[in-house]
Amino acid sequence: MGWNELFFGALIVIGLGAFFFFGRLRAGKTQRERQNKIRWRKH
Amino acid sequence: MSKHNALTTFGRSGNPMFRGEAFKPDATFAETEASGRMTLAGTVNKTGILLVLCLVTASFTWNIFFGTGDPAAVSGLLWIGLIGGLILAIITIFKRQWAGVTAPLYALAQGLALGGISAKFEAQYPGIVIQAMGLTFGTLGVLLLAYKSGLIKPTENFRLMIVAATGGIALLYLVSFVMGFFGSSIGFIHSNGLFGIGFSLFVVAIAALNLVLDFDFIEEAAEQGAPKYLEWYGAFSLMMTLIWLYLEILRLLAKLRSRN
Repeated sequence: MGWNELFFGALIVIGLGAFFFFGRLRAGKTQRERQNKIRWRKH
Repeated sequence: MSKHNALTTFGRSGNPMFRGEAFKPDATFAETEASGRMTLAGTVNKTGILLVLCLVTASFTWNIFFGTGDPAAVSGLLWIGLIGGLILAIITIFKRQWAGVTAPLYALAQGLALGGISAKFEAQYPGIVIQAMGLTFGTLGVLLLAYKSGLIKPTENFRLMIVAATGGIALLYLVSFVMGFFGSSIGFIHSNGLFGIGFSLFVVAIAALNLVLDFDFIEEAAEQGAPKYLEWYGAFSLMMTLIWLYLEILRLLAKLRSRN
């Protein structure tokens, strides 16, 4: 296994790990409670 | 196959999902019981299911390609995946209540196509697939963190800009595809010159920013207690953007490698 596989393999694991961990959490207050949010229900 | 053939054959992609009706409340929206409401965890789990399904069929075509060593051996599966995926995506967009059935089928179909496309690129440029996958999932993780932390704040103008740019790219690919039937094409789309690489970088950026729209849609739908089937729809939407991003990164890397 070369550096290419090691580096990009690690990137896959870290990226997916971040998605499966942080994806379950609610966004921060600054994201949720702002006035200029996208009004998805309108579209 | 020449070094540039894979780019011209598989380069015509675009995210056809326009979310005009995506979050429009329907009759079931306000009356949904707590157990039947969409959650973030549910959407993440369903995205995981779709990724696994896509990987299973992608491995199937990948193994056929490298088992036989014949690109023609996967052509049939590849086109079934591409056309089937397109039909299933259109059905899902217009009948989001069916997403629980159509989204997994879409992932299976796209896996067939992605396995064949990836194998053809890998045969020309060894090591390119793991690079594209690493960059795709790396982008997913980084943008999710940026979104959750509030570093990127999507607004109505942001949405308009991304939807317009996505539509423009889709139109450009469509024109190039039609021109292909008359033996012509829009040169810079497939070129490995500076302009072609710049164009690919722009498309990768737009595809990546579509992820932010997906995150915002999912977050807002879960906050509002949308019906459970929107978990599948949210996962489908994310999957569609990820596939587009992966293909564009693959094209960009191939353009860069073909210059050597």
